[in-house]
Amino acid sequence: MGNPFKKFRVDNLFFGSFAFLIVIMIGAAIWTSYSLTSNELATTASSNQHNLLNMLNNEITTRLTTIEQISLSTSRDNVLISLLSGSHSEDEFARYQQFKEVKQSLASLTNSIPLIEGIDVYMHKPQYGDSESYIQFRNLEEASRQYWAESVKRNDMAWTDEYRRQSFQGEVAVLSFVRTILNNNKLIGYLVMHVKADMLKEVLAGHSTGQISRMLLDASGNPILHIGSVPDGDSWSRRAAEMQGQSGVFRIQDSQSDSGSLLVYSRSRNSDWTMVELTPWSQITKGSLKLTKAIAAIGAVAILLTVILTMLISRQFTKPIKKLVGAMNQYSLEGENAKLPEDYENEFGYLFSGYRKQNEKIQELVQSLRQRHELQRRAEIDALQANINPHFLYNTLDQLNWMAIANGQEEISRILELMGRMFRIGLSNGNTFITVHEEMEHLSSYIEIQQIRFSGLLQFRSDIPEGLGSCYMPKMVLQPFVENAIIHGFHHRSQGEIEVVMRRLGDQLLITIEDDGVGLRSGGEPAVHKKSGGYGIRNVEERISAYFGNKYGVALNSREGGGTRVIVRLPLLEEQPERQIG
Amino acid sequence: MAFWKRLSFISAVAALFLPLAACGFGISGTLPSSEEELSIRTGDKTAGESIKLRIMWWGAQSRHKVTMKALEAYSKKHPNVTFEPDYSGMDGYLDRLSTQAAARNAPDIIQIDPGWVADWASRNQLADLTGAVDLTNVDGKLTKLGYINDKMYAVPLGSVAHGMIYDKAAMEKSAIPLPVNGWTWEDFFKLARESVPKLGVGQYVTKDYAGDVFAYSAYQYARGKGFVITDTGKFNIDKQVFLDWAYQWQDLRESGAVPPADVNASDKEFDPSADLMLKGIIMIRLSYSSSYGAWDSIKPGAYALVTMPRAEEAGGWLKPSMFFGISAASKHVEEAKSFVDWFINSEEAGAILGTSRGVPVNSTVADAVDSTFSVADQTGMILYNATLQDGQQWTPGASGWTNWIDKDWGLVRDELSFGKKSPEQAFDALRNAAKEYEG
Repeated sequence: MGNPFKKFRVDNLFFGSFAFLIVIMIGAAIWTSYSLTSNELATTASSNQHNLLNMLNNEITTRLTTIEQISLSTSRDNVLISLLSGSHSEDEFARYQQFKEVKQSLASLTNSIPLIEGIDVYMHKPQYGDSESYIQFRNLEEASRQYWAESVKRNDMAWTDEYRRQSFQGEVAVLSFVRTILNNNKLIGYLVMHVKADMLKEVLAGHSTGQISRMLLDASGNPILHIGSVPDGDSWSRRAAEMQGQSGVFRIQDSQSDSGSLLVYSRSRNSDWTMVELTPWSQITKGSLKLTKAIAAIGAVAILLTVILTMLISRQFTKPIKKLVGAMNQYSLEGENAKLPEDYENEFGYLFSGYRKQNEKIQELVQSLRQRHELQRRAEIDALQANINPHFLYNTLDQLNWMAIANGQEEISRILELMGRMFRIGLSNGNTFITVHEEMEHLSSYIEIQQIRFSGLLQFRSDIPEGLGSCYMPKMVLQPFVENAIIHGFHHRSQGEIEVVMRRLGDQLLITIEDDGVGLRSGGEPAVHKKSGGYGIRNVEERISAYFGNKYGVALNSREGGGTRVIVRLPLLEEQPERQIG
Repeated sequence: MAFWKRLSFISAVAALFLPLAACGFGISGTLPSSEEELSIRTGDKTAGESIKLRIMWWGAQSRHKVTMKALEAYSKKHPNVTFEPDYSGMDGYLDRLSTQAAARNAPDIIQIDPGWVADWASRNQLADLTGAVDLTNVDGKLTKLGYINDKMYAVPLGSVAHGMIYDKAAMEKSAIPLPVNGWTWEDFFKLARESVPKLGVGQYVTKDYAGDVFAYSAYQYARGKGFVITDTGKFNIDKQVFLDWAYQWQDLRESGAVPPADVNASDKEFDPSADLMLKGIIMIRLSYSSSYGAWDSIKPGAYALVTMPRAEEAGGWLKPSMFFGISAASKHVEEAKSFVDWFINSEEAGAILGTSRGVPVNSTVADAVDSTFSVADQTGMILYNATLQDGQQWTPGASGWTNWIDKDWGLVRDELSFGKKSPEQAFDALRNAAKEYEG
């Protein structure tokens, strides 16, 4: 992956890091607020629900207990017992009157207690029944086929859960309270009070609005009445076992919603009824969700602002960089270059001033390079010219030699031959460096010409140790000094001595040229400041300096006993050096 | 190029947050719509408010059916009005209604017998309906009964004729001559006596009407002695006429023309499992012209109507069948008034209800829906028209006698039927009981 700060564009980096930071912060805020508030809400909700459930439980219990008590007092009614036990079976009129009386009192109960949907009496011989009445007298034999038959088997009284009962007004949802009526331990009938489920549900709902899921459990934990959506009986029995004590709360997973529900239950202190409320977790956390959404919205706005801000900031940051890059791209040696702004005082300011200084340096370098280039060009032209002249001269000398031989001029011919040799060595295929041996041959040729001129009065000695002859040195270094000695040192004289000694001194080659001429004038200036001699020596000095630097060079001084001593200091070159200049 | 690259980068990051942003903007969507709250807050009873009217009536299954249909039709026209009906047979109806009224929990609209109007109005249990219901096309004789002290408390729903119904098929099978309109009480008792030998086992001619206040009233009317209570609230049973009546019934009882007391007591009008005529135990019983449909719907074509037997005078009479009153405790009096107005004055209601509560009181409606009457309705109309000719002028009697009619007569009926009292004793019992009610 590598360091992203080296890889991606600055503005993207800016935006990316800001966005990342904000996402982290907002995410943390969302998570924290959601988890804190939803737990807090759940606690609040469950405690509120506890209170409400207690209250509702009381209300419902009161109603159900009332029904139970009415049922009890009714079942103890002498007229009812007497009718059901058939104690007046011999007197049909009395029985009929009893029948009417029972019906009347039951009807009064039903009429005055709106909660009661109707009352069924199961008895032997119920012949005075009225199918279009709230009070039904039914045959005891039908009891075993009733919905409640199972629940009253083990108990002398029982509540059923909610079911739909066929009445003369159609189907009605009811809960039934069944009480067995015994006389002398003999079953004589059942008193079944049907309670309107809808009215109990209204109580169950209380003043709550919206979607509520509540239910009422009997002593054995079976739901007998519910509103809203609750788990079905099978999955319910498991839950019922978890409910211990007076009241409690726990969270359950169910099929209603993915996140489960909060279950709050409350058991009445003096009855067996348990009230249960189920609240979908999503409903409890609705507030948290709202908060979360609000934070998320703020986050989204923050991201949006970040986009704008980072774009502005990064533009400010990249603007100078772009200018710099633009200036670099457009840089040219000639003409006007882009001006960089000068009002930056920070890092960009340093960068700009650095760039400016560098440009100035480049300008200087280019300037000096140009000068050198010009010098070199001129030197090349000189060299070309110098190459042409000797060839022309050499050929001309050769023709002159042949002319001199033809004319019997032995001396001239010899001189021309020596000159030709000198030219050949001087050309030496354009090489700058020649062997010491060649240099000495060149010098010998020159001296032989001068000896012919001086008719043998010029004496020349050389001392070249063994091995030095094959070393290399710049050509035509010695000749100017010898020429200077002959022309100026032996001026007005017809004889003279010249000695050339070469010595190896470490990695240096020391060449001493001594003459016994007039020597130097006072002040160390050579006495040779006329045009020809001066040019030659200066040329040598410049060449040595150019080739090897100032460490090497030429020293002129007076020789003890008259004359001049020239010491030429050269590096000892055992091989031909690379050509350095043109 | 770089621009597009950057744009795609930013949009990619934006895409990460878009769902969050969407959630954020979704907050406004989760705000509860305030429309419901508004409609609650306005509070006044506008057409938009949904109202549940409780309505209670008695009757046979056929009446329940058409009444429910009418309620449905009304709710369709007025979607804001729904009904919570409570209906039953006549038996126990008054008890139930009285109990609820005592608890100030009476239904908004209640069906009441013309005999109860005065009692209920005097107890301030009915709302004043003066001018609330259009009565232009209603016979003044009928509406008069709804007025107490010049204020109207109840609206008549229909008009019926009191007569008899007989099991035509069964009587033909047993070769018993069929009664004809205009027959006399003499004919009735003769027919009953002479039919006994032709009866099968467990078969009887008619119910034991000895102690039946309506049957006896018809008899006393026919004998020219008027109603059993005078309009001024006095006991008005003619002893001789009563004894004549009761002894003739005693004969029938002894000869086996009427069922034994326990069978007689088990009778429940219109109940297929308890109605003695429907069960084939008896052949003749009292009926209102409007009730024919209730029986006919259970055994179509089996029964026929005949006028109440006469004597010196006609035995039958026309009477307003029943009234609608509005509970004084109702919270929706105005809506209830509108409904009652629609119930009697609209042809739509008239067509649905037919003669289930008697001939429609609104003559225009009655004429308009006449053609739509079912065969059963038309059969009832024949009895109605036959009775119309010289029928007795019916009177509800003085107020305050409801219990005497309902309870004291009921006991006497049983005592006579079970043979616990002689006719003289029965008369004395009624006479003595009446003393409580006489002003």
